[in-house]
Amino acid sequence: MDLMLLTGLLASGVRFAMPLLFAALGETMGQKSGVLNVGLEGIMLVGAFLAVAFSVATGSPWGGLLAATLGGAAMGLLHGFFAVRLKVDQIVSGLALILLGLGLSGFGYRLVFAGHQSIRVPGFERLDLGPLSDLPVLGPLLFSHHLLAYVGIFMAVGLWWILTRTGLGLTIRAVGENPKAADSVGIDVDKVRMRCSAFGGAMAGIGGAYLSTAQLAGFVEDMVAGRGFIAIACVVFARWNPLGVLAVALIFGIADAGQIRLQPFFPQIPYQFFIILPYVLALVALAGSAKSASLPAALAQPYRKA
Amino acid sequence: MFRSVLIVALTIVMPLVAVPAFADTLRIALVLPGSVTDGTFNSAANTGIQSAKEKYDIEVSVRENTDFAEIPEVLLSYAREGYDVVIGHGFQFAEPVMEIHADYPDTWFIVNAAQVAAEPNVASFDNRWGDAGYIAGTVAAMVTQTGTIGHIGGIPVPVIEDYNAGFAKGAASVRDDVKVLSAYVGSFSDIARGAEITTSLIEQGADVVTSTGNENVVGTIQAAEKAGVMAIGTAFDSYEAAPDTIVTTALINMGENIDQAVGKVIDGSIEPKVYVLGLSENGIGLAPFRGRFETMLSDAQKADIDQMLADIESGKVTGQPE
Repeated sequence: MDLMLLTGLLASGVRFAMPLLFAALGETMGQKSGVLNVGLEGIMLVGAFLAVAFSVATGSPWGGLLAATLGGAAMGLLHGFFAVRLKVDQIVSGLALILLGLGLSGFGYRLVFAGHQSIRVPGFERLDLGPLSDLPVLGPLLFSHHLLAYVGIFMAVGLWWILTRTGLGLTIRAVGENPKAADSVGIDVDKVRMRCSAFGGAMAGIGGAYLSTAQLAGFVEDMVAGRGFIAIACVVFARWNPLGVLAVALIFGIADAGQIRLQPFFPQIPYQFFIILPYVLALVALAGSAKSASLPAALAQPYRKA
Repeated sequence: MFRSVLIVALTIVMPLVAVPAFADTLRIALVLPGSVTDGTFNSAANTGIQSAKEKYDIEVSVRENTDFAEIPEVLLSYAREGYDVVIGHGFQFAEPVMEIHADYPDTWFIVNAAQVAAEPNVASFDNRWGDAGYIAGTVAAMVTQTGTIGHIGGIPVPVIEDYNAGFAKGAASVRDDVKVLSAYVGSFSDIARGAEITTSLIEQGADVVTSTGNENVVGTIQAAEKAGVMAIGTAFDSYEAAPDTIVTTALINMGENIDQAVGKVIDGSIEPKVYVLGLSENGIGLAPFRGRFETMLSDAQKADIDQMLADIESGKVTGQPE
């Protein structure tokens, strides 16, 4: 494979990885605090729709990003309200979010854009760092992504630092591992979980915004196409470590970019074999880390004060 | 006691009496696999039924996002409701329709984009997708600079495979050395993957791309626009979406199928057979060259295109699988 195809592959892998990265980072924080949110798919859809609607309304992708972040946080709070305050089964609440997101985004899109099929969405432009972006290989690989991609990588490092090196991180981990002990030293378990859930929702909203205003420019119904579920697999595969999430999201992204590049080279092999590659990877990941010690001990268990 | 018997009797009789009152207006159900906002396959059907609604005195019910598993139940519920025509949009409706049609002889079952028929009440309407692919391939091979062109399909269902084969055949009819790449998204709604696949074909040298499916087509057009290469639209005239990118569109008028189906039911000429609409029946077509593409082709090439269209119409040339 020549060099240009390889850089194309890696750059495309990074683009594929970003929506997963944002959603999975948010989910990591949520799960670390003991809140499992399987509704990322729905939140990402709402984020993708809000990003498009508000980019068009404000004329700037940043307006769209803000709306997607807030909308995602609101859905995260809703999940928190059911799962943390009302102690509803977290899987059920998450499933409800998926359906809610699917309906809200589709309905909202028709409401706002009825009859405007070819509307122009002001999306994020790829960064142009002049000579740096023109470098062979390194240019397209490192210096010509959307600004959001760098934000994502920065956040992975930042969240890792917060989780492992700060008091806030210790609090979050304590709530997720042993809420009773955390409660006994005066930590408001439900409050921490609510905030983590809202944060997770906001990040999933950004992931959706990346899809609809950076990677593409436009919304279609069901455009997230299962990425919300792969993001959850990323979290497990990465053993709840934000830096691991970055690595795993990139692996998934590059696997996806790889399979689509292999397809035209082997027309005799049924295309389905290529398409399942990322999903096989996700299955292997889940099987491999099924009994991981890093699983937050109180994950998906509502905390009731004795 | 008497009262409760009366109530029970009324609840049984009322619906029986009430239904024939609506029998004058034809009731038509359109069952779609996707959403009417997809901009291609499902939008086309919806446009077709809406224009039929303006033309004829009909009552229309459109059901969207019907999963494969839901199809039999949805078809049955419309048939039981006494709808006069139930249209299933997509080849996946063929099998469920064949299973139930005999039980509801008063309802016409029409399957769109499929080739099935059965006495007394199943007909299907299909477009010559292969011919449309042939047209797109011919134009693509004429405008390509690199000699490499690409087709990105959503999921390789029969009509998309026909288009794919026709595309390669049409391109080869213009020049022998043209390289035709083809890849499938594996989804009709994953526009991000559709865009990335298109980008990968462009990286492999394709400078004219075309795409079939639903929303994934949007991804192809956006990727082509970003990379500054040309694209040929399919089905719906896509010129407005990217005027500097869309050379032309190989039209597949799926709305026409529905319009014709409704018309034939109303005038009573419909038969239980497969109707395949080609160029002469307005089932497919070629959109005009506009903007910068108006002057891109030489007069000789334009004449060649006209000749090709005439040959397809006369049946001398076909992109359909043999």
